[in-house]
Amino acid sequence: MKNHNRISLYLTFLLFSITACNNIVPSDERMAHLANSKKDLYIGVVDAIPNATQFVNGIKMAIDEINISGGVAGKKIIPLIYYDDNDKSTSLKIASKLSNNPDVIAVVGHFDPAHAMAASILYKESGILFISTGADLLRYGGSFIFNNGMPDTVYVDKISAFMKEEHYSHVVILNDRHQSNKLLAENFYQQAIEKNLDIVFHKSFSPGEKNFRDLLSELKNETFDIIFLVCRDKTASLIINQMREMDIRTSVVGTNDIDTRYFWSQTGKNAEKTIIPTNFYKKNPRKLTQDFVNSFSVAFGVDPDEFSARGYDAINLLKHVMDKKNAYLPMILDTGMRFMGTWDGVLSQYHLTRKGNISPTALFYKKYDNGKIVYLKQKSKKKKDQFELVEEITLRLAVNDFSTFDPGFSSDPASIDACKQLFLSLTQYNDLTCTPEPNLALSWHANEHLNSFRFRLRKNAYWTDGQPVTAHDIEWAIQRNLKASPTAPQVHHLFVLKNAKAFYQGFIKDPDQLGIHVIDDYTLDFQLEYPAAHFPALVGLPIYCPLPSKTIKKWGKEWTRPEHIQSNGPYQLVYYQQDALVIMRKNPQYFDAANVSIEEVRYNVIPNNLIVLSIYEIHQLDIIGGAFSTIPLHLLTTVKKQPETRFHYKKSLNLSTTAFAFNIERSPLDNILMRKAIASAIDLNFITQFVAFGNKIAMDSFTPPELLLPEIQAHRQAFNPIHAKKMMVEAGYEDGQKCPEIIIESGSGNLHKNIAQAVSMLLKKYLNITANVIDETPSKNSSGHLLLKDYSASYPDADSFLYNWFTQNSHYSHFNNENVLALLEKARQEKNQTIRHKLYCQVDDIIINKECIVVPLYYDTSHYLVQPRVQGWNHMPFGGQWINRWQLEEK
Amino acid sequence: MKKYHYISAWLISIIIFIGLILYFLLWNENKNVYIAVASTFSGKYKEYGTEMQKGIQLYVDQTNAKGGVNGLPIKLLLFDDQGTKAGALQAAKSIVKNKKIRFVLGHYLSSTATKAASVYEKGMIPSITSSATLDDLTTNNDWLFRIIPPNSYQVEFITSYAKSALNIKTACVIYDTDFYGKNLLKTFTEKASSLCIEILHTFSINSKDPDITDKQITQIIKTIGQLQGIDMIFLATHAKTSANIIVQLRKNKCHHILMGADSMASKFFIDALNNYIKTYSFSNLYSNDIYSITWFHPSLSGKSNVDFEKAYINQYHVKPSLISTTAYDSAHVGITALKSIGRPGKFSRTVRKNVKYALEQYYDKEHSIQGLTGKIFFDAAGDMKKSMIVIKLLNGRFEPAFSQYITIPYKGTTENFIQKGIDGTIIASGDEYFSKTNLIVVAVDNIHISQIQKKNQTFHARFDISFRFKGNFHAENIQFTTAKHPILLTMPNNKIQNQDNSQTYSYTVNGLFKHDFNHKKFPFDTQTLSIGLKDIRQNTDKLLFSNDNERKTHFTLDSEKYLPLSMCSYVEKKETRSKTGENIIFSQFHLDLHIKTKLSGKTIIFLLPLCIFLFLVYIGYFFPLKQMHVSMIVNVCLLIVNALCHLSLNYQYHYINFFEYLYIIMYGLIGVTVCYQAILIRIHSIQCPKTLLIIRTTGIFFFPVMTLSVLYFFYYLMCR
Repeated sequence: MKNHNRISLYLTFLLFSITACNNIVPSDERMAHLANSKKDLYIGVVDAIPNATQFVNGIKMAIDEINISGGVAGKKIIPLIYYDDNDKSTSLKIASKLSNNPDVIAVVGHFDPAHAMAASILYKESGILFISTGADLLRYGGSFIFNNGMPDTVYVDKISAFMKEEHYSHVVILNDRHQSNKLLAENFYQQAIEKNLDIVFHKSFSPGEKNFRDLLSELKNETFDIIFLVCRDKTASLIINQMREMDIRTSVVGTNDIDTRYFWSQTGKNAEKTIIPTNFYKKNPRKLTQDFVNSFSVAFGVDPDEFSARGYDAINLLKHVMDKKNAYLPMILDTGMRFMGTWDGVLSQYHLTRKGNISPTALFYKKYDNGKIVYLKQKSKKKKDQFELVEEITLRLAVNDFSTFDPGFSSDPASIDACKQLFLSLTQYNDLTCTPEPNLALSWHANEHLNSFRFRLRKNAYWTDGQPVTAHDIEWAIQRNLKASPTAPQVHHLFVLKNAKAFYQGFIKDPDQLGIHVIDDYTLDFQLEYPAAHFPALVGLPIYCPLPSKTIKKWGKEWTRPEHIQSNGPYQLVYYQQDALVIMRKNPQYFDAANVSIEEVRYNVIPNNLIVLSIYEIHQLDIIGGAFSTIPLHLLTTVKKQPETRFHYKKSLNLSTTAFAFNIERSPLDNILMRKAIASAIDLNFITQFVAFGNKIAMDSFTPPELLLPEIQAHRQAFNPIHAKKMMVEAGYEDGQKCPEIIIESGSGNLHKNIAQAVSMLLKKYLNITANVIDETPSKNSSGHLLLKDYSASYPDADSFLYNWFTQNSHYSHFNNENVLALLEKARQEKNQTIRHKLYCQVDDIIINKECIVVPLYYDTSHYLVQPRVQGWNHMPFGGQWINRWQLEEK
Repeated sequence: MKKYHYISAWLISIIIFIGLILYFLLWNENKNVYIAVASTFSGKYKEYGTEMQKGIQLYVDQTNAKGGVNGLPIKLLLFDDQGTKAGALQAAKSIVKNKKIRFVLGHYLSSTATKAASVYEKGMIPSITSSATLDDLTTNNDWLFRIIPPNSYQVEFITSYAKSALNIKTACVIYDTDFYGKNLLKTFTEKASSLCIEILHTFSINSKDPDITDKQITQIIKTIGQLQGIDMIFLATHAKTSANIIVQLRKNKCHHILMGADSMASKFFIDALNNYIKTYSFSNLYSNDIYSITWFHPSLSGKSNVDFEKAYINQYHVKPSLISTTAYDSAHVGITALKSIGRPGKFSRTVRKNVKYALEQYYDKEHSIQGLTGKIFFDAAGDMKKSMIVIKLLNGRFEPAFSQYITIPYKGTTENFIQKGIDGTIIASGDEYFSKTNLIVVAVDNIHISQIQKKNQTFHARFDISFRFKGNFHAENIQFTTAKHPILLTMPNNKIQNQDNSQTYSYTVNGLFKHDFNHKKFPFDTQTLSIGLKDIRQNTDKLLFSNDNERKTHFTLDSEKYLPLSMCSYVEKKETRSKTGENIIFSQFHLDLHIKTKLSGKTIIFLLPLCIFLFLVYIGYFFPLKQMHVSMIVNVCLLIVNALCHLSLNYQYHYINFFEYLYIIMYGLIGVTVCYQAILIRIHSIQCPKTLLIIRTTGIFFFPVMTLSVLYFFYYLMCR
């Protein structure tokens, strides 16, 4: 009975094989059928084991995308998916089934080289285009057959070159005796010898072998750096496990055949130091690759693997040829593909040969290192297309407008920021303390009187054309900025230099009389008009930046165009379209280029902040707010609440204070008691909660707190209406009604008007004083009692905030005090920072508490939204962000 | 051979049957949605845990009755933290391990919640607490959500209240030396300083040692007696200590305003207070106001709370507490979030992550869940911050104070807005603004309903209504929303000046009210007669009604057709659009009177023809076979009579759905009977006596069974 069964089974199989072999639709019949067929296009997909790889998912995704976008030639593509379970007869059965179907135009798959070989004969006979994903079939050649993969020779050439580069000089080759693997190993041997690698050991074993301990014990006697392992995933996993068991910890290079779920799960931690060459690198900074990775993860909830990318590419290549040739007959596609040359897929660029090789050009190496897979040598981030946006390496910003890239002329926040990226300044500001730090200047020394400074420049700073940046460039730049026409907006910052003002006004013609002297290429002396302890902070301003004299002389105003500009900062300008886009790329000539992480910065010029916010919300901008496009104020509350953005929200102080100044020439404010009474009646808490929300109450000082050391900041009298009333009585006004009407000049801004209004109401409530708000902007001729203004620093030093404020009477309070002037002058002549800050605090104390000239209300705040992927972000209160110190977190 | 087949057939059927049972059992097991409740179910705080569980269980039962979460029933898994940190850690670990659990509700105590929170964060499971108020609990923990405001927020709120509503200028603080007390002290001091409230003195108390506590209290009272110009004493102490201090202070004639945080709002404070009052045989507590703060008060709650209370009493035979109400809300929030993610996936981690994501989507008033305690949403830390209810101790229980601050939308800075801020009618806390509103307590009694007219859709009501308020009250602005003709409240029957400086105006309302009668379920219907009133001139940021729900209300009904069932009153916020297009929210007081249709003679007359038809049809089943055709003719006639009756009744009483159904059933029954009789006649003609007997007997039994089950089914549908 049993025998009978066996025989009948055998006969059936035989019969099936015969019929299978004969029962195919021949090539010409297929072409004729397809030409007249109105059916959809069928593509066979043959995978090995369900879910072992993402191959089928990759194909499904490609087909779905094609069908959604309208299919090919008005027809849908329908995949016929089969699994051969790595079994030859199943594989053949599938091949014959597909060959027998007259609607099939192409087949993709058949991973096992031997199976692929057998199947290819059937497909060739029946005129089906066959794209093999595994086997190097082309040794036998022939029409309709394509090999989607690197040819063995190129593959081993790249691997051996990699070993050479990584200094693995002593190599062991282990391969099974499977025909294709044997050939691969032999090819590798030849390439390795050519590259002077030392093959210390070369052994082969039968494909079914399970115990490799003998073989491995032989290996123990050898000294080697790496093992090249050519076999299937199951065997590879066995060998590596047994190898680690025997304490052989050397690196292993496998082939992409073993890059399967089975291998990784079975080998586990033992896979440490296993390197697998792969054509697919999911972080490859190409738009095509990234789009594929993103869509795949969304569609299937897992990351794509090499197989999925291959499958996806195979289908898209077919579609590309079909579109190009406007046909879908296998015969036409066959020739079309052979003469295509190159094509861009998600793996990389493909090279298509006439022999039928569809070969991806890039090979990456992934290594299991310290418990996770890392990619080696993946840094080929050079982009072919200059304008292609690769999210992973690009910081995307938005600004409302750009005025210039010329540091001598930059005055708006966006331009200052761009100049900071492009040009080196002598000093730069510490992001926390705002104190000057070395940048182009490595060090500086002042003379005893603080009116002469010597700066030593770094020798490793270069212009983008390779020329060194020297002291002459700075001298030239300052002279040019002084003479510039139209006048440089920030030119007054240069007047600290001896004779600079006279030179600027034309009284002095000889530039040698200027207080700037080049000692040698890298040493520079400045002589000043007066002692200035703050000078190192001042030279951090863009107007002191060196400029490329030759370029400016040659191109004139056109010198900042991307094709002309020479710069020396962390980034260089590569593209500028007015009112649209600025692209900057990392400057390889920058002295600290190795530590610049972000490869590219894009400033999108978008004038409408609402649009900016909506673009940010779809994650197409990285930072908004601050020096960049600001967040619309009325949406701030929503932004702070919305779960999508609330964790992105950051706020930081600017170097700016909003304050009232008392006009002490007007009665009753000539009486200090009245000034104090009014100051005590202004509820700062109320103002920041009801009017100027989001800003920080100016509790401690008039000078922004960042410019003073925290421990020595002065303290002021807090809001106290009872105390205020007492002082008013002392001043002789028992009831506010007797007090003359107080005029508050608020300026024209809505915020200021509201603040003034609130203060007038507070005065009415607590002191019964009638106050009248007028929207005049405070000026020298102001007749108001209380003058509301924003005061800000033009360079990050308390001197900038207080000196001009006081000496030029920009508060218009008519306050004059010799003591204050003496303190400010003394501070300019003081080297010790702590003592300087103490002096400024004393000034603060006089003007807030003792003389009560100003009532600081709040410090201005910048609001930001920063995508979490931007690491190391920080706010610079004084323009010019540290983009070169930030990083973009990889997904 | 036959026997063999027979046995194997039996065996196969049994196996299939057992298999099916097993399959359904296991299948059902996997098809539940599991939620963990972690609280204190044993030890000292057992009572709290049980209260919490009751609230949650009620919500789960209600959800399951409505089909559960996407068709799957919810099951609660209880985890006891024993009120200890170790217990909490243990419970949290087992919860995280159990992959079936979607999220956690709990823990009760701040200490246990803190301990468990880090485990939940690590294990990536969302948890919602409805009672732990410790400040830093939710900080830096994305997985923890809290549906009540934290301590510091509450203290800030009540401090602002003290300044703006009570005009407090100076204060003393008595604080517990533990973490809770110190934390409250810190927040109070900071807020007081920014509001310019001078703190004259702070006193510390060690509540852990009762002997020291008493001595300390005596000392404190002595010092306070010597201090001049204290406007208020703030108690940063636990419930029991606060009760002790209050009784002692009042006993020693310290009649300052007293204020405390949420610990004082709890039931345990009231219990302790009553204990101390008994111990010291002292009762004159209310010489001046004693304030606390809470996030929920039944007097200010709406219809949903009335329904909740009813369901709660039905299930547990006690009134719900603040704990169970808030716990019910926590279950509501969690389950709604779970529902919103659609069919939960297979992987617990993804589901938990999605629940967390769904919870984060409730982030402001427009994106919130309407719970019993108000709109629930979370800020970035996972905290719920909203306007609080300031409550005042009166006659041994807390009642909402006459001034409240309720949240208002920010509409831009205007002169009016700034002025209100300066006057204290608007206060700010964080990014939120709150407007001062006057509370008016409404009480209704002696309700008499008569003249219920279905045709006119009206009823007549007479009842006494009283308004208790402080300050101004304009009765002429009161509009009865359901009145047929405007009812004006002009002269009050009675004006009473109460001890706490509030006044009570009483009126008698006598008028006709509209009601949309719904008879679809007649004669099994109940009607809810609704009387609503609002102040047409003042919206919620000026006037808020409160419902005096403590007194027993008399309710009588004068009607032949209806029986009185029950009554309830509640307040709700109604949003209307003004002429200028603005949304205005009015506070509205509601009185709902439930009545039930009496089974009257008329109802029987309606049903009588149907009963006769049914009887006649059934007689047909017993007709001898030879005369069966006579019965068939009778039945066909009945069908016509039934149609006539149906049409004539339908013309008059088209709104009564139940009769409609009964007539349709009747058509069906007669139709089935006629077919049945035709079959019988046919079988009789082919002379098959055995089959005939079986069919006849089956028919006689089957007809009443079928009739009853169809009737029951429709009854069930109507009364569901």
